[in-house]
Parts: sequence; structure tokens; C-alpha cells
Amino acid sequence: MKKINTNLLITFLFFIFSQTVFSADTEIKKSFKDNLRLTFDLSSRAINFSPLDEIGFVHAVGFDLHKVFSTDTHDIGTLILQGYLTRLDNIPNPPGFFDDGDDTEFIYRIFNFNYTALRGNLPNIRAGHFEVAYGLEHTIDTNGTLRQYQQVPNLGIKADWGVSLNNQHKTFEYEIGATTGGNQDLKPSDSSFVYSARIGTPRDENTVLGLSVYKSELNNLDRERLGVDLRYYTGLHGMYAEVSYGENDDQDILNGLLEWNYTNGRENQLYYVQLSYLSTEDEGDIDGDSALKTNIGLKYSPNNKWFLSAQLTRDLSTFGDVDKKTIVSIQARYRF
Amino acid sequence: MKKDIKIDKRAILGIIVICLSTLFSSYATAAFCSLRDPVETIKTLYPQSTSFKSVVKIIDEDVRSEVQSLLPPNTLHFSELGKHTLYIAFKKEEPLGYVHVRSEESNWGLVEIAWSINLNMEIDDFKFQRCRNRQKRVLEKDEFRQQLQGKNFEQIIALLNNDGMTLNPQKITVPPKAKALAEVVLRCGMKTLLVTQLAWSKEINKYRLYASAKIHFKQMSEIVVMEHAVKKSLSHLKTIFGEVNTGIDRSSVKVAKVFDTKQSLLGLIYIGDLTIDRSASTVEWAISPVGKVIGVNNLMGWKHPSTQRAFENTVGNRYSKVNHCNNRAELVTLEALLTAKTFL
Repeated sequence: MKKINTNLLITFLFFIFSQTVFSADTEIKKSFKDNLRLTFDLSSRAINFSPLDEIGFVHAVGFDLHKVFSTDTHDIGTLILQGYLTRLDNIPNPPGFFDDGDDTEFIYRIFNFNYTALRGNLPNIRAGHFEVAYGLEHTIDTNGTLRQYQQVPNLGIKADWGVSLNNQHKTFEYEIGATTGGNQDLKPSDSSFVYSARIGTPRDENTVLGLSVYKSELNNLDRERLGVDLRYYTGLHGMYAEVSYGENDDQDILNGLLEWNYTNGRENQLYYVQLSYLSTEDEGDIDGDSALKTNIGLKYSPNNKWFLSAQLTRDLSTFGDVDKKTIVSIQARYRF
Repeated sequence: MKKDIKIDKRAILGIIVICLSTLFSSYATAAFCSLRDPVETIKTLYPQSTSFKSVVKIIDEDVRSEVQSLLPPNTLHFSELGKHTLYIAFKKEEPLGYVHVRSEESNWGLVEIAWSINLNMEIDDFKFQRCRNRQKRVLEKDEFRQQLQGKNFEQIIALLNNDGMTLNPQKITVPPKAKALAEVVLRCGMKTLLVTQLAWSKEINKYRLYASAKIHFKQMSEIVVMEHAVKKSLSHLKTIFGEVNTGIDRSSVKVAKVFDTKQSLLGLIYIGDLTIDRSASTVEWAISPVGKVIGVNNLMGWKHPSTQRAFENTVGNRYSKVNHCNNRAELVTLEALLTAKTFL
């Protein structure tokens, strides 16, 4: 709760700054409503944790703003601001930026400006809070959804403050980011940092192949990863795969994910099954340890305001003697 | 006491959210961070372009109703409502055309197609942005694309049967296996032209006037669109014509002043819709600062050489009274000149 006022202040200053900068140039559109998308976003998620037999809730209320700044003949850049007042109620093991499982914080999701006015093949420059450029999750919309990929369990972070270079070309697209490691805070309290990069074939094709690298220090843990991701679509079916290999300090890590999904012709229904594998191997430990879990879920949008989803997460095997868990989540989301 | 303050803050935030929501669009979709400009597609469709500009407009229930009434049984599905972007491609300062991406439902999910449209609202080309049907490779070949290129809204509709859904095999040739996808493409193209015209009419009018001015005034540097041109000249038109209508659809009229680099007035462009030789036509007149016809052209093409000659014979002339006119071409030219005179 203590961070809310600071974060609201940053949000307000970012807004004012962008207005001041772009209103100063007479060539640039002054009306802020031009090329503006603004939506309010409410969601409630109920999560049943077994064998704890506890039910927790996550409620979020926030805004999603998208604004393109243009001159008479070209775009300058895109501002995306997403801020959510998020309330946890009885959530075990909450993310580190919450004080505990019963807390309220102002959370930044995507909050950045992408400068797109450099000509030719020069990259766009993004500054602010954005998703770490790595793996499947980088090219799929997982913003506020139950369906997630391996960003957090594999990398320890999903989005962060910093800068990146990015662009799309005929045969490939890329993003290279350097961020602070502060996660929700602009400045981390320690020597944290995150470097990430992904290069891949264009994401709209029916076969998408990506290569990612990642290096970070978060909470005094060094991580290095090399990853390959693949998406393949045939008709209404999609098949995704991701494999990461690397180290956490001196521990070898091999992670992987497989997903099959199916959508209807209108694409307002989605069904998916994921199989997620995490393994570690300490130096000198030949056998190592591993965990396997599955997610089965569905999403349904009856119209362009309501988004309903449900997911069952089941541990198939766990690290060491950790008890197997089953988590059932349902979420209703309303954007207006 | 501290807890009470927290509750108040949330209540205030809730009230602010509800109040602000009334000021903005009521259409939403997936999170906006998933939006991406079709940068590479724009480069492919307009390889000579040096930049593009986004114009975001709302596709609302009014547009949906118009599509339903003009293109039954076609409609806009719910994800097509909301705010959408029209991209205007430029070569330096010169507008080249538009790129608009629309999606169409199909048995293979949503097919997203990027359409390039010239300033006269004719199809330049298209490119599949996302399509899970393997036949897309067949339809990306020149043989199919060339059958759509240069066609306007009415001409695209004519490629479909009267049901508005299926191909008319006498008008378009498609390999049998690709027929179903080709129908999706045509329906998408038809809706794209209509929706673009309805939602971005201000931009379409501006750049259409720009394109006309570019043809008739070689020294042109910029145009200034005259808003509500007919409304401003209506009393003058009534003095001359009374309640008689020459045939120009006055709601379609667009007028712009044309200037050179020194801001000197080069003349005016007048564009209006009318029926000529039983065909829907859009005629543009270039008019000099002293009210003479500099040039005239039918953007839909002349049906008969004699009609073309009648209009072209007005070039170099000035008309101010009905009794100066010997034929319909001169009569409609008189209306164009009288409207233009208001701004000279």
C-alpha cells in the first residue's frame, strides 16, 4: 500500500511529460483525443488452492491507454499506459511487490513510449515498463489473463523498467532490452539488472520460430538462459513449444513448455492444454530434480466487453518432497 | 481510522473511473499492448513510401447498421467494432494511398487482410496479414490479385452473386480449391471499402481533393478544404436554379482551394457525384481564380465519347446563367462554378 502514492505520482508525471513534450511542437497534433484509445478494465479472479483448501481472490481495477502521436505525414511513436489498482485477498506466495497475500498495490503492466520515427531500417526505441523480450510470452497477449507461459517461473520476472530497441522486417522481428531489475520499482534496492533479447520470424505467419537470450541478477540470483520457441498453426489448431537451457548461479536449468490450443472460427472461444517442465541439476549432482505440471483452460468472450476464463493447474510431479497442488482459477473481466 | 481512509480512496477511484468512462468510447477489445502496426505490410504494399501516418476512428453501431443495410447479409462481427486504424502512406510529403487491415470470420479462424486503397478509393492491392488456410498462396498470385486491382466498391460487389456472399464465376476466375477463401477475401474487400469510406470520410475527402489538385495544378503545394461548401453557397444556387436540381448530389460535394509554395491561390477543385449516361459518376472540375474551367474529369470513367467531349468542351469557358448553357454538361458545370465562386 505504501507504494501507491509514489506510483500514482509517476503515472501523473509521465502523462504530463508526454503532453508537454508533444504539445511544444506546432507541427504535431495538439488534441490528445486524436488517435487515442482508452479503456477501463475491471477483473475479479477466484483461485482455489488444494490441498490447502483455501480460496483466494485477486481484484483489479485500472486503465489501458494507447495513443499514437503523429505529424501531418508520419507517426512519431506510441504511448501505452496500463495501471491497475490490484487487491489480493488470501493469496499464498504473492509476487514480491506485494507486502503479503492480503495487500493492495498500484501495479504497472505495460507503461512505455515506443519512438518509431527513425527512418529506414533503424530500430524503434522503447522506454518505460515493458515485457521482457524472451520466448513465447513475448509474442502472445497474456496481459491480465489466466493463460501464462514460462516468463515468471523461468526468468523470475515478466515486465521491468528500462529501454529497448525493436523493429519488424519482412523476414524477422526483434527486441533487445536492458532493464533495471526493479520489476515494479524504477530503482531496484540492490544490484539487479535484466538483459534480454529475442529475434524471431514474423509473428503473424503460420509458423513462427524465435531465438532468445537472457541474463539477469535478481535478488542476488544470477540467471542465464538460451531459448528457442516455436508456434505452428494448422486450421483452427495451434501448437506451441518452448525450450530454455541455462544456469541459476551454478545450477544447470532445463525448462520446457508444450501447448495445444483450439479456437472457433470467430475466435471468441479458446481451449488449451499446456505441459510445463522445469528441471535443475546442481554441480556434481548427476540425477538433478524436476517438476512437471499441466494447465487446462478456456477463454470465452460473449462480446467485446466481457472476457471469461477458467484454468485448472495440476502438478504431475514436484521438486523433492513438495506436495502436489491443484489450483482452479476462474476470472471475469470487463473492459469498457 | 487509517482503514477508513483506504476505503475512501478506493471509493474516490471508483467514482473517477465511472465518470471518465462516460467521456470515452464504450468499445473495448483485448489489451492495447497487443496492437501492432503492420509496418512491413505497408512497405510491401507501397514500396515507394517513406513514411506512414495513423488515423484512429471508431467503428460504431451506426457504421454497423449501414453495412448491414447496404451489404446484406454481410455484417460486422463484434470484434470489428471499436477503434480501428487507417494508415496513410506517404512518399515524403505526398500521400500515396491508404492501408487498412480488416478481419473476416471463416472456417479457419479470423482471416486478417491488409488492403491498399488508392486516393480514389479503388483497390490497389492486398496482402494476407494472418490466414490459416493454405490456399492463401494461390490467391496471393498475380492472376487473382489483378482481378481486384483498380476496382471500386460497386465493381467489387459486382464480382459476387446477388446473395452478396458467393462468387460470380462469370466475373472472376478462381481455382476451385481456393473458392471459399476467395469469397472471404471479396467480402472483406467490399466491407473494407465501405467501412473506410464511412468512418474516415473526412480524410478520404481531403486526400481525394489533394489527388485531383495534383493532376490539374502542377505548381500546387497545399490544399485547404472548404467545409460545408454547398451550405455556404446554397442561397446563390437557389437564386440561379430555384428548386431545380441539375443532378449533382449536393451532399457529396467537396471543394478545396489550391495554393502554390508562395501561398498564391492557383484555383479550386470541385468534386461531386451525379448520374451520367445512367451510371454513377464522380466528376472533378478544376477552376481558375477567375472562375474559368481549367479541367474536368470523370473519376469513374466516361461511358460515351460524346459525353466526354461535351464535358471537355467546357474547358476554358465561364458560365454564370442558365441560359448560357446548351446541354447538361454545361448545366452541371454551371453549378460547380457557382459553388466555387463563393470561395473566390
